[in-house]
Amino acid sequence: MNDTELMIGRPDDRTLEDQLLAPLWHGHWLFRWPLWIAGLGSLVLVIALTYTFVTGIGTWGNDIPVGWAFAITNFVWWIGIGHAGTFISAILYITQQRWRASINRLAEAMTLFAVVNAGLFPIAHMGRAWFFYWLTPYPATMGLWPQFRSSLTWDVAAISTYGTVSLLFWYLGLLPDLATARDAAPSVGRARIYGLFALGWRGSARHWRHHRAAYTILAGLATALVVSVHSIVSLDFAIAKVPGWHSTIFPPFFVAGALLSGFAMVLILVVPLRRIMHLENVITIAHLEKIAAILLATGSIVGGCYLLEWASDWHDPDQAERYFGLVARPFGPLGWLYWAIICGNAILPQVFWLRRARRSPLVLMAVAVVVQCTMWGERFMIVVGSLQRDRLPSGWGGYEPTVVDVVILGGTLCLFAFLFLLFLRWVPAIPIGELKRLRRDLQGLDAEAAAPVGDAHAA
Amino acid sequence: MPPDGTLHLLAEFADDQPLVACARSLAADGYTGLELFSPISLPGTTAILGARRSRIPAAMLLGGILGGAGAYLLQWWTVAISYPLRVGGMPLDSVPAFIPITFESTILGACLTGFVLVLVRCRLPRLWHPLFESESFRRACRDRFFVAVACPPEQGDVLHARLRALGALHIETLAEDPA
Repeated sequence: MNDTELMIGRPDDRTLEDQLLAPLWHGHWLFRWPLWIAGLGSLVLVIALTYTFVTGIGTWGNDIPVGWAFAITNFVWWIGIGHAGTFISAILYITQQRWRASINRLAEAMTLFAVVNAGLFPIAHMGRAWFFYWLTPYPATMGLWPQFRSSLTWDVAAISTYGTVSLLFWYLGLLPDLATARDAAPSVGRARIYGLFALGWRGSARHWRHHRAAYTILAGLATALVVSVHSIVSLDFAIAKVPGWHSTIFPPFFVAGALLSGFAMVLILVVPLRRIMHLENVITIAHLEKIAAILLATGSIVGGCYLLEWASDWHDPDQAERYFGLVARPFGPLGWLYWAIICGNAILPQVFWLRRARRSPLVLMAVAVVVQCTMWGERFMIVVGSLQRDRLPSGWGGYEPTVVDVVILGGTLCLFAFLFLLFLRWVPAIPIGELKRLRRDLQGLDAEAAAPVGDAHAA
Repeated sequence: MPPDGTLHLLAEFADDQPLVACARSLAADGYTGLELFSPISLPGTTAILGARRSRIPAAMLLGGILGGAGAYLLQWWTVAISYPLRVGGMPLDSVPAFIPITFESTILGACLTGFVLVLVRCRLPRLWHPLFESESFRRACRDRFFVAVACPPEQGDVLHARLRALGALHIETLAEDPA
């Protein structure tokens, strides 16, 4: 994979800027009926949540023994999707990967909106959502405090930190581009709005010096977040004694699955977008190829975790764990799902060993959609599969979602699309400044590639 | 013009390389009041301008330590001192159980410190700045590169000629120090 393919042509600063700011000034058909549909879907979500808040979570299919069901499945799934954004913006930044430049902001926005959706579920799942602040330590009149030995309070810290840091990182990276939009704005009104958000950025060496220093450290810290957030989410399960949950492999297993579903979501967004918004020159096949490689890697790690689960269940001294891992999970009521998950998450991504598959948008999109579905299925299987086969056979039961459950899941997809389209409409979605930098770097590479003979003579 | 009569010039360049070359040359000759403006970050210019490296990373370390220590103390005080409650046979000061929140708060403390300090050290938000009155400066965040430099008024012509020779496309006099 050659980095010189990361941009088609070498457009000058003004051409790049005109192309990337075009949706802000001229709109796009994406922001007409698709935005309306997504908006209506979000409205349905609001109605379904209101209904749930007013009536209570009896509107959902949750019952004993399956008390977690859709809400926690969706929560874990959405928070996992967010991870690819942080991975691209943080880990690829500190490892100086050039291909992050054109997709990092899209991915960061994806993270933010995924966290918004994820955050809805634990709060709605409380039933009395208006008491969510009980989870924070505040001096209550009864002198009570949150129980910090419980993984649920860890979740609050992990998710709120993740959301905050993602927002700060995103905004800090956006600042110079907002200034570009301010100075390029076709009208005074828009210049004022972008000027307000650009905070008066002037691009002085002083600005850049402090900006880059903080951005790099933020990237390093966000790297720690990538591995910690889903680890902490996995502890919600791992510190419980339910068979299939009580496992030390959960943190890395969850993080790998998070990256797999996150990068699948990046593909689901980027493959159509580059076509619809004519971004093929800055989001190239080379980008898609690298994302495919990550799907292959994380899919294989997840596959390895499935194998390890078998091995650890085989050796487990706990009869309930052995029964669940070797019988109930693969051959129980959700057995079909288990095998579908293995095919979708671990086996299907192996297609990316083929170069042609990595470079085919159609294959990439198809695999990404399947992986996204099976990753949701995996979260569902972990949550519901274990709860319906707990230690006492007398406590076994089933689970069926209600219409409200399904509407809320669909509604979060609409809310995600709605927020993402608004982002594409109003915010420079491709980092303009970073691409101006990339273009110069690539011209340097072009020059090196063009003159190897001359260099040899000079040496 | 500032009261002491110092002349502040703003020169415009077409690309980053001539700008950096110009800054290097002016700095070598001891010109003061040097500041660069560019739509992209220019690695290596900190040393040319003789500026100190940003100390924000050190402050972020401090912010992180405070965040983590604060979170640990809060957890320990609430569940071991203020309302002691034994859960799951764990000691009141249940160290491993307090690690996740301590870790997250360390990161949060460092990141909030970093973000606020970027704004403070860049003196932002400042929605209006004298430079924004310059018509040509409106391209500073787009596709033009600028250097600001100061000199005593009698050397103005020399500096003008110098900037032209270094490839400046356009030179203007600023009403005040742009720093």
